[in-house]
Amino acid sequence: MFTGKKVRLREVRKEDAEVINKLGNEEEVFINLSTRLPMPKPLQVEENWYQEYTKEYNEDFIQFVIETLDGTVIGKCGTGHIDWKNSCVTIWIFIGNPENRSKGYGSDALSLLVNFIFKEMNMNRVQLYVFAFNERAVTSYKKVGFVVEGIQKKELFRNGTYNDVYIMSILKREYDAAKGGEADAI
Amino acid sequence: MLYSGQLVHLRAFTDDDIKPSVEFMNDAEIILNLDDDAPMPQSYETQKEWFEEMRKKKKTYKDFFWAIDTKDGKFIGGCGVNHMDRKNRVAQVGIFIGDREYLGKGFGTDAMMVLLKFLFEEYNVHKVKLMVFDYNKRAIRSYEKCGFQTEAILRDSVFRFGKYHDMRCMAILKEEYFKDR
Repeated sequence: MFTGKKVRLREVRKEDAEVINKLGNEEEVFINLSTRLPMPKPLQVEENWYQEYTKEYNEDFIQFVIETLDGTVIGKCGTGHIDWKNSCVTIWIFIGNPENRSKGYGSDALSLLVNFIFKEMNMNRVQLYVFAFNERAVTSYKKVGFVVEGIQKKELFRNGTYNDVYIMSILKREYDAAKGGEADAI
Repeated sequence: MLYSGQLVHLRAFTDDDIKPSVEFMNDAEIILNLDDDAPMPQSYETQKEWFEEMRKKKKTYKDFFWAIDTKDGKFIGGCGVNHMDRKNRVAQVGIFIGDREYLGKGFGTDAMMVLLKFLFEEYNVHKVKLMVFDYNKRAIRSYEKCGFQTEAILRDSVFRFGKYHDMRCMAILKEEYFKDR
């Protein structure tokens, strides 16, 4: 369990399935999260996923539930592709429920995840993909220290048109430099 | 012709290609420009396995990989689609010229043009993209000749020769491909 200023990252539990399914099925979440067809998922899919996840539990697939400090589940974050040899991890995050957005929960959770990846996984680079129309997310990622490395033009067909996708990343040396700066400030 | 360019002809792989492929994949100059994994020595058996995997994948019509022959029938490399995103109509492609004799002579560029023609004119994709190690300047020049433009430089994305190198993402859109045709 990793605790930040506003949220906590904890393990996924069987009983989370229903609330996670509900959060993930919000339109605002699924249109922003994946390049696949934006479709709500049946609860059964979440439960099957949990079975597989616990059966195959290993270090190549990391997921955390995000909860506020008072224990309300608000979203999830984790790793996609982990490239141990090239020392690069692709990550994803979502915060469900409109009332939990724009409160700094996502940024705080992302900081904890990035911290875990650099401090425990011994990685050199963390990257993510974000849709250009998801401006709030881009702002949040920049706050945590990610920079836009490139724009994949017209990569995503959504809502009747092709949209750009940003690639953002943070390197270990940038993360360390920012942390050093923070320590100096204290 | 559908699978022919000025210098090359693209065709399906056969088991006769396995032996020359082993030599290609054991050539450091070739493999260090092709794959971001640590290069493992290859044998006839490991290549055969790869060929079999490829044939299995081919049945789904999502990924495919073709042999590149010169016009007089010499097998010199391969090219194809690593990942086909059918909903977004984006194909991620890869290519290699494995026979050093044919590097830097326009064979790769010609093969890529044939592949682009197939993808845009037959497969109905909307975008073709690829990743290239930023140190592979010869390949980058070739892709630019085919109309690819740089979309992103992924910093420190491959560890090789003792340090981190950038990876370059390049792409060409349907409207760009058809503009001059």
